[in-house]
Amino acid sequence: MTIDLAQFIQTFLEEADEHIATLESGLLDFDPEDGDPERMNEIFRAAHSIKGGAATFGLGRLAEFTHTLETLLDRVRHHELVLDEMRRDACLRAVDVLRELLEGCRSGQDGDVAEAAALSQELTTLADPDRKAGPAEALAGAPALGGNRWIRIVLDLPEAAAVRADAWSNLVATLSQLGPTRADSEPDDVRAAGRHWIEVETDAHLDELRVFVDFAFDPAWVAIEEVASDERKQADAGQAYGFFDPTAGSGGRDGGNDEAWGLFEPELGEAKPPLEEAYGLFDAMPSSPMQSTPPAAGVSTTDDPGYGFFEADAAPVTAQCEPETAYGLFDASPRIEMAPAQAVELALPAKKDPVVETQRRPVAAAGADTTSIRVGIHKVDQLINLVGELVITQSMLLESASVLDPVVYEKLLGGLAQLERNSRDLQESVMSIRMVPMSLVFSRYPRLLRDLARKLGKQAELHLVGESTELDKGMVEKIIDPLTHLVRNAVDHGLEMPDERIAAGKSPAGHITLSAAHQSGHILIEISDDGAGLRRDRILAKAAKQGIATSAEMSDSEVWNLIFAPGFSTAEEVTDVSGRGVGMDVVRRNIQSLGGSVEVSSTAGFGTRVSIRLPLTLAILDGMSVRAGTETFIVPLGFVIESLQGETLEFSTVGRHGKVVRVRDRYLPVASLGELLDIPGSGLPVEESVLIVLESNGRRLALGVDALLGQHQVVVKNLETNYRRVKGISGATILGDGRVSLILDVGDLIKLTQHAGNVAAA
Amino acid sequence: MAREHEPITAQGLREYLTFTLAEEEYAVDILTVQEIRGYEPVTRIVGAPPFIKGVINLRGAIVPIVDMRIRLNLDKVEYTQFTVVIILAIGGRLAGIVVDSVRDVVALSTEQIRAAPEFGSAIDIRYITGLATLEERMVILLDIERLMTSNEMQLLDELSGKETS
Repeated sequence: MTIDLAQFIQTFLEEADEHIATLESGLLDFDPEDGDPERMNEIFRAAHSIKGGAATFGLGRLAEFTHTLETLLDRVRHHELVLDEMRRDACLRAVDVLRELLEGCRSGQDGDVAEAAALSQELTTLADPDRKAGPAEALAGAPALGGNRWIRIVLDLPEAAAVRADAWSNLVATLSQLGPTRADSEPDDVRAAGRHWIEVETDAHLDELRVFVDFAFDPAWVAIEEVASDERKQADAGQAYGFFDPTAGSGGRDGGNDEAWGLFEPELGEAKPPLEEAYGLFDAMPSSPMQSTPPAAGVSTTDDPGYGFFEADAAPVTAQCEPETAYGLFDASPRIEMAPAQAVELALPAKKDPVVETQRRPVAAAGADTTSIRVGIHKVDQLINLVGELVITQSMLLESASVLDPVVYEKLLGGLAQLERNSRDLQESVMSIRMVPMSLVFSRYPRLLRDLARKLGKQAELHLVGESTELDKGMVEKIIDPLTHLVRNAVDHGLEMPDERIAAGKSPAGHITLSAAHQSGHILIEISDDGAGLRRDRILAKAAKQGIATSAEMSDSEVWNLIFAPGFSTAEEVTDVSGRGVGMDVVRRNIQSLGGSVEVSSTAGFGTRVSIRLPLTLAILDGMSVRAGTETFIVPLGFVIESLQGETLEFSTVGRHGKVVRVRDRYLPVASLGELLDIPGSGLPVEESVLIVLESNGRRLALGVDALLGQHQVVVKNLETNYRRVKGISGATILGDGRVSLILDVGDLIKLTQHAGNVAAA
Repeated sequence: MAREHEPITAQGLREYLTFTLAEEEYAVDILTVQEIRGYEPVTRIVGAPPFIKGVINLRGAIVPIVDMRIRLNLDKVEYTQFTVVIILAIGGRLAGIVVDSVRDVVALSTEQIRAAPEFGSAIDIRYITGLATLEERMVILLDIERLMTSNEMQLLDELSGKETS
């Protein structure tokens, strides 16, 4: 049976996104001083999972690249390297490259990102700072370690291995020239499958020996290791571990490191290779720790108290590797790879208590458990729709039942009341499925802030408040861009340079606070900084220069609102960070399109705060219901500035068709909703109607309607599902009585009035 | 648009829902019909052509309603207790058509269907699959899929409409 991997790739890509997020936030948070091992393990596991998945799906580039990152992280995890700024930086850049690579994978090809190769090289160098010195040291160090020492060559012959009859005797003869030898098998036996060893006392380097051995036998069968003199007596015990895959003899490439391993029980050397083979892709990662260990390891030999534990434990754990590799898909390996990690730490007396080390493992296992399921968003939406229907049906029932005699129909009415409670609860729970915590949004900003502050030479600290506040998933995706812009602005324009801050009596590091909170059916997101604040004079001057109507009497909040005007920017120079003047109006437009509103408050010298109010979900909108003729429309509340009685205002005409109204010394164009949408039976002239002042994209309109009916939260339905897009209408909703009501598109309406004006003028 | 449904009866018969519009009897493939319901007040849509009455709430879905009598320029357009709305599901979209009354479900074999001659029907010949005789009555078979997805119907956005017509 063939399994279509394509369906899993999607899942892998989704998971990889999560792993990348974990990686990034982990890297940012990780404090090398404190070095919480679980934290580091988490980071490592994330990288490892990406690698494992990528390899399974044949995404070679991704797997390779992740491997280099993983190697570095692994060494950090084992306290062999410190995650200093340079490494952290490289890792973070690696995260970016990973993202790009994943993006490539998503579009179907195992993408090549130009930066990947260079960064990969850099990571390798960082992972192994003494790499070049390594082999040389080993060469020099080997004889110094004790001149002649016993070296054991272990041969694991598989069944049906083709071995020349004289291979063994030739080898023994060759080795005899180097020094005294001992072998466990007679030349004739060596042709049979199984394990054979030969020991030689020599000062030759392991690599030299390897050349001889490889000449006679397939390198895959051969393991060469050094036998500490006092351990040699126990050597036979090593054969108890014969259950390792015989093909897993240590590869020639780790020869240089084997001395280190050789200081431990011989089995250790064998235990390692299967681990590596398991992933095939990588080179000798776990061996790198060893370069730093020989001196210390020399102290700890068989009488190390932790040793007994390891010996018993490492072998079974390693043995598990084989089944693991068979699946590749799973993420169980980090746990297993910890086995050699512990080995290293246990052998070093300076390291932590072995007991502590072992306890870490169950924790790691528990962390990998997930308690969530993946469900297609359309299923959730369907559920939400159905529940919405249920609520409407329920309210219709309630309305019909309201005329019934409560005494006679006591039970029915009681049941209806119960139904109402239940359906509300149900609606709330179903809505909460789509809700995700704000931390999903916030988590990207520490990185952004760090990079930005560095680039600009500023110091900034980010404080996150209310990360657990929940928001609709669809909303989360759309709020990211505006928020990113605001955070950039806060760093670029808001915060001063450190010396300016000190001069102003503030701490050199600026504080930026991102907060989220629920507030009466809305979510309130605030970005505040303790920077210089907005400069009223500068904004006014700039606005005047750009032809935006200003006056000296404008209130502060009106002045601040000017920054949302299209093309507005007060930055003295345009940087690649911000200041092109395309930002704030886009921010406001995006937020309005989500049915939200944005406000700025600022105090010179103390900072600026931008507050964004959003409805809790995209599916629900705060609306004002209005009547025009016999029809009811919903105006999204986010666009409504105020509503006024037409009789109290002063109207004037501009040309033949244009009409304006004076509201607080501002002339606003007037249009009647009935006329705009050609609604029969709404003959009320604007002078007598209720005027709603609407604003979109910095343009205002006074819209005349016959009456204001009320304010509700309405469930937004797409009109285009079964029909087409309609000018001036953004969607539809179902009212409490089951009828359909259209939701006005304020931006469109304002355009419509301008268009009507143009036509009239022409 | 190609027929995607196979005949559902054993003898190569296809089932049709017939309905009346003024004096004429029309039929549509029953597989396009989702349900039949009474006429209920609609919410008018801004800028829609007169034959699009508006939209209704069909268990949470916003469904446009086309009055076929206005669409076919029939004189008498009145809403009585027999006036019904046939909800059609075409290409994953829902739309309702208002007709005078629903008559029957009939099974027709391909031999019973004759090509429609060029005649001055209220409806364009393009949207007529053929004519059939049922107990001395003539039934006009509508290619309802093509009709509902045509640009003239204005039920779709211009772009998507062009693809199907």
